[in-house]
Amino acid sequence: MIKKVKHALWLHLYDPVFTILFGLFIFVSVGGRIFADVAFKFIPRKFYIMAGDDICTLLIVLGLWFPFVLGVHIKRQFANHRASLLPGYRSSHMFASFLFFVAFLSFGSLVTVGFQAQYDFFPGTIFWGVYVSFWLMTILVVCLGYLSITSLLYVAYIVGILVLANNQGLVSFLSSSLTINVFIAMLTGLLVLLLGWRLLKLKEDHAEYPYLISWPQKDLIQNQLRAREVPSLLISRLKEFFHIKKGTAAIPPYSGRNNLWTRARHWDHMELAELKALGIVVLLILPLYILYLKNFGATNNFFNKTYTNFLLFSVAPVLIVITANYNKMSYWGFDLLKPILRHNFIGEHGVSLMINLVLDWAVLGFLFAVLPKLVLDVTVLRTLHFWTYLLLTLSFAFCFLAWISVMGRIVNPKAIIGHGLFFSFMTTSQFMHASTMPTVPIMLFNSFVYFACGVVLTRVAYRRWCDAEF
Amino acid sequence: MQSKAKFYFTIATTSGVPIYRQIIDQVKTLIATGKIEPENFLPSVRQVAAELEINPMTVSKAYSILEREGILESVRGKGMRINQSTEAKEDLQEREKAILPLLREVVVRTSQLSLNPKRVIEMIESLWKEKNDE
Amino acid sequence: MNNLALNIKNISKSFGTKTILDQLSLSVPKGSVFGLLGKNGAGKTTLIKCALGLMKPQSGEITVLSDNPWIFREATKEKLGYVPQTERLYPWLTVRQLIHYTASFYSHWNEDLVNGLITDWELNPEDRVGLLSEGQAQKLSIILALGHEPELLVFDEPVASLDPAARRQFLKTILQIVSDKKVTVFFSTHITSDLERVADRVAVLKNGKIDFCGELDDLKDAVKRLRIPKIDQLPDRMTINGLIYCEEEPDGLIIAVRDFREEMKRHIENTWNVTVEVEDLNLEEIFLELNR
Repeated sequence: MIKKVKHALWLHLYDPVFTILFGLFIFVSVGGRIFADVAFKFIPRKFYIMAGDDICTLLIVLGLWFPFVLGVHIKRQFANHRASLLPGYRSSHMFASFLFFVAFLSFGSLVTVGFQAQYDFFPGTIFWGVYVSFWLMTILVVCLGYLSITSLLYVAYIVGILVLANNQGLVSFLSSSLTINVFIAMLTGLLVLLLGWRLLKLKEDHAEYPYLISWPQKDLIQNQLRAREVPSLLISRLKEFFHIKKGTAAIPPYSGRNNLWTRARHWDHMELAELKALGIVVLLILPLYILYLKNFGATNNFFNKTYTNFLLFSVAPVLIVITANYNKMSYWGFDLLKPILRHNFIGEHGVSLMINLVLDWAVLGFLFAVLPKLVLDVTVLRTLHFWTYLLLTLSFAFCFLAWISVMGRIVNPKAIIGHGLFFSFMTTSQFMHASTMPTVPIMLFNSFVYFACGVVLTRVAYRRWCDAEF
Repeated sequence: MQSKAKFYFTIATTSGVPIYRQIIDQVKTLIATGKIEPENFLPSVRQVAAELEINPMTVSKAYSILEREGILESVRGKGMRINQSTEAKEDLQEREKAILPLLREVVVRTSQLSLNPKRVIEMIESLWKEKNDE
Repeated sequence: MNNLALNIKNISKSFGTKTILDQLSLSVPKGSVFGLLGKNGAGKTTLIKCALGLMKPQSGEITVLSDNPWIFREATKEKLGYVPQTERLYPWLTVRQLIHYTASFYSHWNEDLVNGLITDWELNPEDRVGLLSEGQAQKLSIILALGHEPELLVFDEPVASLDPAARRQFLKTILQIVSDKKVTVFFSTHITSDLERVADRVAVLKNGKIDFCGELDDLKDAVKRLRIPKIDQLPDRMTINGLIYCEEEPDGLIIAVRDFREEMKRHIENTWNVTVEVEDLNLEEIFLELNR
């Protein structure tokens, strides 16, 4: 048994992305704790706070990615025939994953526990709230296999985390009462047990199996189609409910004589399911959301303090676009055989990605920057600062997408995650300090730089993809 | 010394004729044409199966049927040996029936090739003379 | 029951409104090489998955190696090897790592056998699994199923991606395994020529049921094509047992039957005063006839 668990552990660790994330996480938690305890005495307070903020953000980002990758691993291990046919498989893999999970929680707690008492400028309570939500979300991630219903729940995941993390009221509420903490801990424990029990019995017949086939896999299509039945069913029910006219089933024909815009939009007809689902859900939730903002928005840092959620407005749209379009890329080899010139094909897909990026960015920006300010503090909308900031996020997103397109010849989601991480670190370091918001000229300059880099990278990507093999 | 199975048997796996039947027929032909003499041993089941890349059970089935018909004899430790008295076992009528299809074919071919039947009979007789002289 | 490696009794399996398996029964004796034939979508994969406990039939009973597949005991799993149609391997591992990982689950693992196969089948142990071609991945899946020398090997289209040389190697390996020990091999395939070479028993899956189950030789003896040349006047009607179809050509009749016997030929010749030519069919043609 021990041998099997050992091999199951190594199965996780042989994956470089997993090991790097895990190693980084441990390093930052341990390092952060040592820093907090020791450096307190030596460093001036101002730098201490700044460094503390950095460590917190690092841990949050890592805490986002690591459960994600762990979730992918868990799904890979259980959603296959080996789980049923190899002796002692399920228990050993369950145990190995459980060990990683526990390690994640323990090292994460290393920084949070004990801080609240000593250092009141360290957002210990926030951490506690954040990590609890991480645990719950990780379980949901694995349970629902949201990688099949990509952007919809992915956005909800990130947004949920950020909202919870910044809602002082909610977090204080959560950390204040012992009963609440015990309840949350028990709920988490229960969910973990439920997940574990379910995974131990998982067979192909079970409803969640197609959702758990994680990407990218070669035979993904059949299971993805099964998995997509539910959201499509939901969408059609919603359409019926709202008497939305049934869209014409026929896709407008492609014509090489159309302009670039029309041609680019043509490719989108294949893969709009997720965005449509997202759109409908957003519309439904909008009234509730506005109500929430009116009544509780003021106490929520996320909406109240500033609109500086850089990750949300710059990186999230890129990730949505990429994950939504990832499946399409496996068809590019076929599509190239259609009567289209190669450079036109690449160009159109590039434009289509950009259009989707702007759309996603606009939706996120509207929902989480414009709308809250509209409800809470309209004057902000009249400042140049606000719009310049949003412009900055857009140009960064553009640059990031171009960067990924260049890197994207390694069509490997783990590499994308790695790059995303790298980019997030690089850039959030500029914007973490709420007290030191950059001025308008600086932001304009940065926007310009990002935009210029984006243009250059786009050209590079264009040329690379034109030469690419499929 | 055991000869190679491939030397003795040519098996068409995708023929309509089952493999075991092909082996049986070919063993009988080998004996009749003198390629294997009585008292000699056929290659083992395992050897035949391995060289021809077929299921050993098929070979074993063919050998069992031949043993039952008295053509082969199983010798412990050494394998399957050709029996001495193969010919006398079968009924005369059965044996004549066995050759009938071949003869029919000769008749059909004679007419297809527009040959003189009398000439063909002469050819058969001279072939017989050759065999008896061996 | 103990001489059956696999015993399926009256199982039915549907997905929603579609019935795939309909009161199906099948038995596989120990030590046989058993081939499962069926058209695409006939339900071969579903049948195999039910037999291995990956799916559960709505009704019926399955016994594999004297155990219930839905709740296999560990001891039974040690004796089982399965190669699915599409394998999901861990792309970040190397071939060597994946082999060691799989080996850790079994108490018995034949290292020499596996190393021999890797060399013979030209796989590089240091290659990343994610970068293997389909054929190489399929070969690797097969090796992973053979390493612990199971008593029951189940293959679902194991050679679909292999070239003829690789397929031959695979068949050769199977034959070696079968001749050395009491191993049962069960595989579903489209490639009838492979079955003809190595299988001793076959089953044909059609419309959710087993159309034929028995020795391959018996199947070849039973399904024949008869030609009745139109020399004289043909009768208006003929009754033939086990008729699959009858086609009238300008030069005569072509009849396919499924329960052929020598007496049938004589009976037809005597009853209707015609001559009958009997054509032997190979497995591919038998399959086509049975699936008309």
